[in-house]
Amino acid sequence: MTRFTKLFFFAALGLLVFAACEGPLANAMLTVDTTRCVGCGECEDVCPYDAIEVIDGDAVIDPGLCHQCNRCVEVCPEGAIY
Amino acid sequence: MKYFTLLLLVAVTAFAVNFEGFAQMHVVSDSINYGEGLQNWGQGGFRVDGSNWNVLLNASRVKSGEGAVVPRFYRNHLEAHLESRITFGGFTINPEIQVNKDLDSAGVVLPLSLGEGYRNAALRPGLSLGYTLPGVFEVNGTGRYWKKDVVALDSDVEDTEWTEVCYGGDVLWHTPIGGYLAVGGVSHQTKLDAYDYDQSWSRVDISAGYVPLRFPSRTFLTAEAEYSLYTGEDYTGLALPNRFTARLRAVQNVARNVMFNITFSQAADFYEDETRFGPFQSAIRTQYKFEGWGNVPSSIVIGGQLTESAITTRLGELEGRISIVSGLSALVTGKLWYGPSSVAGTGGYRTREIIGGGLEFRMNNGMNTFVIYEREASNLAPNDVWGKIRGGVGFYPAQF
Repeated sequence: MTRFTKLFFFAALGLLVFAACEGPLANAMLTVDTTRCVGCGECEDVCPYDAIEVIDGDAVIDPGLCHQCNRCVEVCPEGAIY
Repeated sequence: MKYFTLLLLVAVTAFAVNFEGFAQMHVVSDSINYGEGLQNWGQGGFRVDGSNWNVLLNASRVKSGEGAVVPRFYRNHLEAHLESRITFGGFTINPEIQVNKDLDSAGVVLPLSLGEGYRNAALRPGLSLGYTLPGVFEVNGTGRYWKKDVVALDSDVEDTEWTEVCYGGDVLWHTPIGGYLAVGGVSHQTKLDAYDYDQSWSRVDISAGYVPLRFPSRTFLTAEAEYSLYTGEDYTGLALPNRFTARLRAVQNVARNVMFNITFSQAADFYEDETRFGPFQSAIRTQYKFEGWGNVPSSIVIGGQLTESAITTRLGELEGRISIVSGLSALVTGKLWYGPSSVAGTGGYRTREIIGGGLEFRMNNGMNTFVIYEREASNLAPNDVWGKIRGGVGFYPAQF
């Protein structure tokens, strides 16, 4: 590892530890892992709020419409929404 | 002479292009209720490729059942997506249009508890523009417009037009030391004219990624950090928090045919008065590739994932394709899943234990057919164990 790699790695680790020490576990928005999403559209079909569109092969969640009912999380065959 | 030149141009164009058609069909049924559980899905289209352009038409029809115990959904709609891409120099122009026609009610819930409704049709034109200087920088811009015809069920206002406008772009610079710096943004507006509903949010992303140039052979590592500044409100009228996300991804090819892929990400949300955890994700996947006994590439994938946000999900999975004889492969699938559920009686979470096996046959002429049986156990009562059968056929025959 170069010195820069080590520095970056430990800086990122420090930031994560800092984030882990702050506040309760809560989240305002669901997230799509685009490396796992295959764009099958099952989440789009099951969303009763019309908050998800598959664009360029990835699911995109509109935070203005999402009510966090988690139906998309349940049906996603790839476990890409969390 | 003019007509001759035109004919020559048409002939050259005809020989220069490559036309490829495709079609596939997929049917699913389960042992709980064969009629209600039946889903069928058909898709077809074509792709025309020129030297520096292509056009892709993809049309599909989905019909799926609905059940009270197993969370299935009812949908019967047609969808057509016409997409084209033109490239010259480093420039890319990508116009597209997507049309949806709902053949039966597609239930939706209107924003801000305005009531329930259903969608009749939707139209989504879009345009993307980009410029890439390989290895140096990339500039991309995208604009999209959605128009959804929605009928409200329990309101004085019956018909309303649900429109959304989204546009954004980003600039990415590949740094000489490996990695990238990027700045991007997106703006989104949702309107329901009949309700005077007009909501907007926008986001600016600043991100950096580092890919070490010197690492042991067959090792690939990416570290990314992103800060997103949000403006606007979510559906409850609350401000959207800014978010910092850190990601690490490592890929290690232990041998030529064995690969480990590990990802890890943690986000922090910055509200006005406090900082909270954002989503956390950790996943590992390993893939073993081998030749098998036939001519189809074989592989076994074993993976696991843990996520934490306002919800928790855990996933363990196994997928395998093992070539038996020429064209014929055995399929193996297994999944352990724990996650949130909207099904009554589950206490908000449910488990799924799925194991299955099947066969796939690929012919040299482009036909591909498969059938797979899955046994699923869950904490849902009374149907805690049931079977599901999936099958499909696809053709990729037409090439000129």
